[in-house]
Amino acid sequence: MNFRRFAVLSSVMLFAFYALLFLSLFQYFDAGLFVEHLLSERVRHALKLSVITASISSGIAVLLGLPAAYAISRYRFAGKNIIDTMLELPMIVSPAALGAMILIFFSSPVGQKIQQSGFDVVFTWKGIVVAQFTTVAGMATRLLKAVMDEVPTRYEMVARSLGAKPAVAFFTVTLPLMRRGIIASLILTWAKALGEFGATFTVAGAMAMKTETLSTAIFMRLSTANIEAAVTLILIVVGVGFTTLYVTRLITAGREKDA
Amino acid sequence: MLEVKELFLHAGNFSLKDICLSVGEGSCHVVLGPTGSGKTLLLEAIMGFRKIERGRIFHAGKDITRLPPERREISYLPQDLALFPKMNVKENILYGIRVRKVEDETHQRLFRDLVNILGIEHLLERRIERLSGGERQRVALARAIVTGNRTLLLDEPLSALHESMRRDLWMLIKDLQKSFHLNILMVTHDVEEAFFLADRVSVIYDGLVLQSSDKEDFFHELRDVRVAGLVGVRNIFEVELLESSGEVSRFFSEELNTVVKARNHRPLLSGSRFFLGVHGSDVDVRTHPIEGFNSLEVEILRVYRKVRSVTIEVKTPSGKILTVEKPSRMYRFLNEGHKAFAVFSPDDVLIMDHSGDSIQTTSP
Repeated sequence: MNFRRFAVLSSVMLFAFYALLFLSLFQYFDAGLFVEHLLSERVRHALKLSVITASISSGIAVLLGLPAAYAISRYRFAGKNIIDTMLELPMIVSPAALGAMILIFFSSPVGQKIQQSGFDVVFTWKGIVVAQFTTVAGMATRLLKAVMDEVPTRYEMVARSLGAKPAVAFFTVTLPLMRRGIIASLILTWAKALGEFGATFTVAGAMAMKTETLSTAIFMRLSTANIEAAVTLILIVVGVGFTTLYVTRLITAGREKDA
Repeated sequence: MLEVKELFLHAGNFSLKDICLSVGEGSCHVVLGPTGSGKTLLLEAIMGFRKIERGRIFHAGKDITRLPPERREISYLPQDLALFPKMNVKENILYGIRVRKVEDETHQRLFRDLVNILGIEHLLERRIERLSGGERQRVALARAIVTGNRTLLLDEPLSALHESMRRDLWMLIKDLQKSFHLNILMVTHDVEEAFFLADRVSVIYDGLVLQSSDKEDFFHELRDVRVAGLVGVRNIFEVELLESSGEVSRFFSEELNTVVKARNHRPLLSGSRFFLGVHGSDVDVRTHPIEGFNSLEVEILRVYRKVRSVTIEVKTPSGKILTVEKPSRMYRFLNEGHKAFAVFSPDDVLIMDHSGDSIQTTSP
């Protein structure tokens, strides 16, 4: 077998592996039950909660990540490497550990004061947002930095030589060039937040109609051996994931065309 | 007027070492140097994009060393021009006026004049990616000048263009300089471009300015063998001064195994070692020696014929190879292996100080 065949066969095997997993869902698929589960109040609540919390957490992550990514991409400053490394931490530390860290922080004197001031996170939707944000903020900043690195600094240099202050140069020249990249980063971050389970479960628990997201709902259905309901939820997650990836690909393809 | 005094900065392992240069009112100063000599770094430091460790920069009578780039009133054109891709031509040109909020009648008139002179009226609504290389240069020049900044820093902006287009733009830059009384500081590695555009030429090498002279005096003041290599002097040999009486000195070259005569413009010390340099275009290939000239018996080694010029390599009996460069119409019947004389006038010999530095010459 030559190398080309070996490489193609590897990709086909990987595809077959994931396809097999996906197709195996249909042994428990019942159209009637699917519609019934889909329309149930509990599933709709989990879907709504997931979409809202993922939107808030990914939105905040991108908003905060944008200036942070700019600083890491454009400036040299003390501690830059440490910050850069720290951003990778959520990607390699298990989400359950991140969740535990959040709980420990909010049981500290500072954390307790924050909770007493009204921002209670344990077993609340706010806890879901914090958990998702903790998991995705590093990734969002990394994605945005990669987008920013693609925009040559010379555009800003020229803009500044023409009289633009740094912020004006960023908003009028750099940001428009990053538009597609930011949207793609936002979608990927949102999808990652939507599928977050470990940290969310650790911080907010899985209370039905209160803190049950799609991911925790799948776990809860499996733990009660309600496979058909779990399959419904998995198909929703897979559907959202495919749509997200497809839209991101369309945007990224447009970005490459722009470049 | 722009003046740089003893500018020093580090960038990684590289440093700009006490750079001094000035651009007079309405003049063009070209900094010539090979790739990696610090040309772009120098412009970025003058613009304020690099933090300098020592030195001062003055512009229009003000010390701008600590001012942010947007307050220096100097326009910058990088090598790739950096036209803003999300804006059309008009938006690009008017960018500086708009961010400064100075869309007054004076600037509008300047805009109209520039668009007219540069012949880009028909391009104003066009997107940047639909412009040709030459059109891009014109738009970038308009964008830099329309702000009212009279000082321009140009970082090899013509390097990506076809040669004939580059020559057109050289003339256009000269015209713009005269029409708008521009002070231009330009960096390039192209000797011809440098000497066409410059009123004053500096040569930078490894972060150090080796020579800074008015264009007319450049070759008279050439003392450094590295500068000679960079400006295309291909025939360089080490010599010892035998005699320096009167205007013509006699040197002995071990490499050529002969005496070479050169007209000296300064007192020279007998017994001292120098480098002599002769530009390829100042050497002739003849069948007979010429009285009063340096005439070296040579063998024609190789003849390279190009569109506009011919390059001939000749070899002396001592094994030294000399390069002769002439217009292509000359030496049509010259063949490799022929015996001849390489002849050059003492007036065309450059006398350079001896240093231990290596000699860099350009390739054929």
